[in-house]
Amino acid sequence: MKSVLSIIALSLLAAVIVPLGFGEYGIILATEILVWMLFAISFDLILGYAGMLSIAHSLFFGLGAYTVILLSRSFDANLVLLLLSATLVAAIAGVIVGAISVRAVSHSFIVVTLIFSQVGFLVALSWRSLTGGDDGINVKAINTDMLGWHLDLTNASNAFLFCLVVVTVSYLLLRRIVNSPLGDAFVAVRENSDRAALLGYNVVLIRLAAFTIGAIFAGMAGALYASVFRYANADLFKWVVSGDAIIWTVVGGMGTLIGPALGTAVLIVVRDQVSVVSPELYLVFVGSLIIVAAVFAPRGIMGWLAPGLVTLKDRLFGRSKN
Amino acid sequence: MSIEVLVFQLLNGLVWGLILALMALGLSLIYGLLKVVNVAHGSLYMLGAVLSWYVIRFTGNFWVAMLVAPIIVGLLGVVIERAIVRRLSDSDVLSIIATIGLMFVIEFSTLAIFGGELQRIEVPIAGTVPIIGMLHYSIYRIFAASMAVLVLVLLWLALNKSKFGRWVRAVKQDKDMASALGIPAQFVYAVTFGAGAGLAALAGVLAAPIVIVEYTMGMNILVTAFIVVIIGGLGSLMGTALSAILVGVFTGLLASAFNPTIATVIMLLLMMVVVLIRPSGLFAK
Repeated sequence: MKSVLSIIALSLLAAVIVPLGFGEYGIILATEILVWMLFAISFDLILGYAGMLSIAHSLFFGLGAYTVILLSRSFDANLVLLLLSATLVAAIAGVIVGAISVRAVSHSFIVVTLIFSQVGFLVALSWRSLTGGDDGINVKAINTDMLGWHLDLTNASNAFLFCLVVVTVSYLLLRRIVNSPLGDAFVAVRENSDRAALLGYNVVLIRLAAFTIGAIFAGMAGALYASVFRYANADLFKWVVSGDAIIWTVVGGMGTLIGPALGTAVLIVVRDQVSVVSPELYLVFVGSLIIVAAVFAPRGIMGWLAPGLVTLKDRLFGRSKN
Repeated sequence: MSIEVLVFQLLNGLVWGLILALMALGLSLIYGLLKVVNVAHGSLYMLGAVLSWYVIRFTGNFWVAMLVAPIIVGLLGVVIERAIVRRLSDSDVLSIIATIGLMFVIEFSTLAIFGGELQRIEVPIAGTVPIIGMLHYSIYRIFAASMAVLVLVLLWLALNKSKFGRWVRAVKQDKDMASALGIPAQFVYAVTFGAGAGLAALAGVLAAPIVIVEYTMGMNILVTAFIVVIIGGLGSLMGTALSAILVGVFTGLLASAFNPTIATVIMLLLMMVVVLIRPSGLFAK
């Protein structure tokens, strides 16, 4: 409960500081960070908790984003309907892709999900009349009329606050899931699927649950991206987008949820700063960082921070019971 | 569709399959011994092609490039093994992540130095030979295919008939036991990784006059090579070579009937079916 409160407190703090203290550029950057944070957290559920290295994650982000853009263009659907449809599309796709993929394990799983993202990308790239290919398509404005109340998402601060609310709620939901018995089942299957099966767990179903829940939140992240930036292109489906999630998750710390969020924030800020000098330099730097992380700190930023955080928490709130 | 087009696409598929086999064998060799899934393998292929472009620019000679580029990349492979791979704890996910990092470093350093432009390498042996009817086929492509076959045979001999090959098999079976018997296991690891890297680079050099040389060229072949290795059965050299040729020829056939994107999608879906039905490979016993 305390940590739920501290997350909410942190969000409230961000809700005050970012719109008031940052210029428009900073607010847009912070919004982008929030969107990709949700993507990384949803990926961590699949990799960090259920132990599946899925390359298909970009597929669900792309589907979420395109659902918003296409529905908004053809039906002028309102924001709530857009987000719901995007998550529904991602959920359906997640069940289909997951049902096929989770039967494969280790390398076969990686290859099957890689094929899914590659096929998704190629289809999106060549179906130009629908997707706009690599040029992408945009929408002038998202209809945000909800029960007579209007939210102007073209305003940077509004967009940031909207994303902040959605991402915070999503984070708390995901946290609730990983701390539930279902979350324990994910870890049991990750640690030893044979033993989990012997204990009576339905391994395929549990993997599928993790995969689909991750897909739903990735779709939500894609939907946020499209509603705020009003744009989507075929590159969103590319496997390198999943690669970003892998990087953020590992640098932040797998299986911690908050770590990947932290990793995303740090790396996007670094990218923003270093890219001004040279975009290639940033990517070389990130590459070296990942190598160092994999070799010396497999548990990421959180692996370094966690002991310190526990001490800090003990000082602030008194010694925790467990 | 005329018979000439079909034979032409089949030949292209065969040549491509053999080049792919070099690439995939490197991956398979590295996985079989070191249990490392080398995502940077496509970058090593690209590096081979780019280095050969530089060597040709300075010496004007393709044959020098064909010798020099794989050696440089092979040495780089030895350095990579000693500096990074050896220090990784035993985990597939970590090896994948570390080599993704490596891929970033290699590809974007290349972008910074070589630039993002598309470059072409002139075909070193001009001319064609008649095959059937009106069809004439490029001599260079026939050379590239023969070269790949030659290297595959040499590799087979090295692994099955030489002292080093015996070492590799011993270390693969039981590293500690092999070390106790005086086999330099660390040396075997380093040389194997270097050889795998060199094979990727050789594939890159041979492909360079056929395809376009650019810093992202490793990306697409990596996906195919990975799938080829899985279909062939991880760590099985014969299976890998066979599945590479199969995939190449099949892609050629599909390319003669559909547009390239549809052909690729069909191929990918077919491969997915194979992976799902036979997760340990088509040729697994």
